[in-house]
Amino acid sequence: MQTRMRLPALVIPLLLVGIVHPGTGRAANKEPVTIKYAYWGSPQEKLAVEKACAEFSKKSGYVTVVPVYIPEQDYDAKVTAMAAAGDTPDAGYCTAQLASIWSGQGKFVNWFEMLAKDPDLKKTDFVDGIWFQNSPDNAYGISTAVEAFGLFYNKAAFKDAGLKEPPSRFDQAWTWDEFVKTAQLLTIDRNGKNATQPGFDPTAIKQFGVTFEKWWGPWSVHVLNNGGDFLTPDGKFGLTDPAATKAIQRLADLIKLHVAPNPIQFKAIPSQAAAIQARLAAMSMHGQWINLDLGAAKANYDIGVLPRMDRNTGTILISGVSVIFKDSKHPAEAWALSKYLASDGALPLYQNGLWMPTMKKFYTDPALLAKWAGPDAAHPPGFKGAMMDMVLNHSRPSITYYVKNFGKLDSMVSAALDPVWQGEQTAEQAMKELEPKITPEIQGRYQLK
Amino acid sequence: MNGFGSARRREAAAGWLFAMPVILGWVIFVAGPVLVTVFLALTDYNVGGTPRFVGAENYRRFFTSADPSFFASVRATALYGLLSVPACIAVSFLLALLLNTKVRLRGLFRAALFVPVIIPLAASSVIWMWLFQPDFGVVNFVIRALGMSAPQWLASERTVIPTMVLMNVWLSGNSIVIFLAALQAVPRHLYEAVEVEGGNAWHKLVHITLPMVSPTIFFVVVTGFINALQAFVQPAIMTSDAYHAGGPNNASLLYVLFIYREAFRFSKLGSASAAAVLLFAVIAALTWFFFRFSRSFVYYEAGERT
Repeated sequence: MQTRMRLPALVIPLLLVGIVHPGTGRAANKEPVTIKYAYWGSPQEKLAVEKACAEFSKKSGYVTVVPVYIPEQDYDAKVTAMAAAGDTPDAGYCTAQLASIWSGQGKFVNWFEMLAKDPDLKKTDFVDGIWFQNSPDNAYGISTAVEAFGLFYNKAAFKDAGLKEPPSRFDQAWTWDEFVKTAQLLTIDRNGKNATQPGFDPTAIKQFGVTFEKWWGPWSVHVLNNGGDFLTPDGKFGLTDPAATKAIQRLADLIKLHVAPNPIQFKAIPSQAAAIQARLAAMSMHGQWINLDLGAAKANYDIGVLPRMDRNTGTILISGVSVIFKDSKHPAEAWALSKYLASDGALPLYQNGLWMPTMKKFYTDPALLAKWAGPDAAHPPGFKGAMMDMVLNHSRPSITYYVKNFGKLDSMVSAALDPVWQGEQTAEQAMKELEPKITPEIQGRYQLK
Repeated sequence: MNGFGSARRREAAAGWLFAMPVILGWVIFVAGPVLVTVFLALTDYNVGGTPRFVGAENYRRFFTSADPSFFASVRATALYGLLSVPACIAVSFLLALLLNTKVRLRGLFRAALFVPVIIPLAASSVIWMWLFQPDFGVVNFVIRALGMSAPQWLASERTVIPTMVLMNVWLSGNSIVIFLAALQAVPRHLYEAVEVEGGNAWHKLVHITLPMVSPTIFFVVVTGFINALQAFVQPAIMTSDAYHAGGPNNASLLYVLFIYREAFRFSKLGSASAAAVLLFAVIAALTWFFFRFSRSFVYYEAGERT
C-alpha cells in the first residue's frame, strides 16, 4: 500500500515542476506536450538515447519525450503492430526495409521540406548520401548516424606475428592478395602453426585471420568496390555479374582457405567485437559502431581500410533510418526532437564510438572534431583515415538507400548465399540459380537525383 | 411478489451475464480476428495503406510465384510434422509405460521428464542451440569422444529439421502425463483376465493396453499435428536473426515463421492473412480426416455395441 501511494506522490510534483518550470520562456505560454520516440540498440545506446531525450525535454521546457525502447529483432513487428493499432510513435528509428515500404504510402514527413523552412538548419549542413529518398525531392528519413565499413584488427596479433599493421589510408590499401597472405599468416592453430605452414590443423584453429558477418553489409561493400551492384543501372538483378560474383567468391574462398570461420565455426564467435578483443580473429571486416564495444572494453585495436577489390577500395554508408511519422499530433515538436538527435543532441553517441555525425560541421570544425573523434579508447589513431576520410571522400550509399523492395530481395539473396558460405556452391552458381526466381520481385531503384 | 416468468427471465439474464466474459472474449479475441483475417486475405493490405480488394491474388501468388520460400516452408513444415508427431508419440508412450510400472524413484523420473515443459520454450531453445553447437557443443563432444563423425545439426540443410524434432521429443512431457493418466485408467481386471488365460506382457500390451488407450493416442496425434503445424518458437530462436529467417537456405522456415515474415518483415499483411487462412484450412481438413478415419482404429469403451 505504501509503495503504491508513493509513486503518484512523487510523480505529480515532478509533473507540475515540468509544466511550470521557470527560466524557459516557452514553457509559460505553451501547453505541455508528450511525444513518443521509438528506437532500438545496445544497452549503451539505450542509455544514451534516454539521456538525449531527457536533455531535450529539459531544454524545451514544455515537451516530455517518452523513449520507447524495442529490441532490434522485434522492431518491425512491434512498430507495425503500433501502426495497425493507430498508436504510431511521433518519431524514431525505422529499419530500412520497413521505411522503404511505408514511404511509398506517405507515412513519413519529408525532411527536405522541413529543412527548407527551418531557420537553423539547411540540407547542405549535412553529409551527402545520408538521405533516404524515394524521389529527388522527398527524403522520407535521415540516416540515424553515419556508419561505414572498415578493417578492425587486434594490434597484438600483428605484433606477435611480426607483421605490418593494415594501412589506414585509402591510397595505401592492401591488394586482395596481400590481404589474403596476411590473413593466412595470422590464422593460428592450437599448435601455434599458421595457415601457410605444413602440418597446420584447420580443425583446431585458435585464431582466425579474419572474420565477417554474413548479412548484406559485409559482402555488398566488396561487391560495390569490385564494380558490381545489387541492381544494374537499368534496374535488373546485378549479382550475377562477374564483378559481383567474383567479390562474393573471394569472401567465400577465405572460408575455404580456413582463414575465416565457416558458418559453423562462426557460431562460436559471440560478436565481432569479442572476436577482436579475445583474438578469436586477428581482423574483422565490420562496421564503425563496433568502436563502442571495443572502446568500452579498452581493447588493443586499430582500424585499417578494407583491402582493394579489382576496381578499388571504398566504403559504404550504412544506417538505420530516422523518421518522423505524419500521424504525429505534434509535428513541430517531433521535428525539433529529430533535428536535435541528428545534430548536437547526439554528441555523447559520437563520443562513445557508436555513431558518426550526420552534420558536416562535426568533421570540419576543429573544435567540434576534438570533442568526439579522439584519439581515445573508441577512436584509435587509424580512425581518421580509415573511417572519417573514407566516409567523406570514398564512400557510396549502401544498397538499402536505393533498392526498392529490399527486405524481400535481401531475404532471397541471403538464403541463396547460405550454400556459398558453406562451400557447397560457387557464388556464380548460386546467383545464376536465383536470378529467374528473384527477377519477378525486383521493382527497380529509387531515383535519388 | 414477482411472477414465475420474471424470475426465470432474471435467471436467464444472470446466466447470460455470467457467460458474457467467455462469450465476449471469444467474439472479440477469436471470432473477430478470424473474420478480419479471412477478409484481409482478399486484399493487398499493408499497415498504413488502405486495403484494396485483390480477390484470390494472394493465394495465387503463393502457388505461382518464382520465389521458392513458400514451398520451402511447406516442405519444412510437412517434414517437421511427419517426423515429430510419430517420434514424440512413440517415445512418450514408451516412457509412460515405464513410468506406470513400479520402478524405484518413480516420482523423480516423472518430475524429471516433465521439467522440460515448464522451461520457457525460448530459453530451452537457446540451451539446445549450445548443446548442439557443431564445433564445441556437448553433444558433438561426446560423439567425437566415441570416435564417430559429428553431424552439423542446426547448421546443415539436411539435419536442421531432425534436430528440432529431437528437441520436440524431449519436450513431450505433456503427452507422457496424458498417456500415464490413460494407462492408469485401464481396469486391472482386464489384465487379470489375460493372466488367467496365460497371456504374457506382450499380449497385455497388444490386446488390452493399446485398445484401451487408443482414444488417448488419437487425441495426442490430433493435438500433436496441430501443434507441429503451428511451431514457431524453435526456428525463430534457433535459426533466425535480424536478417535471415529459418536458415540455412530456408530449410527450417516453418510455416508460421513464413507467415510472420510476410507480415512483419515484408509488411504484407494481406498475403500473411491468406497464408494463415491456408494453414487453418489444412489443419481443419487434417483434423476432419483423423476423426473420419478414427472409427476404424479407435476403441471407445462406452460406445461399444453389445
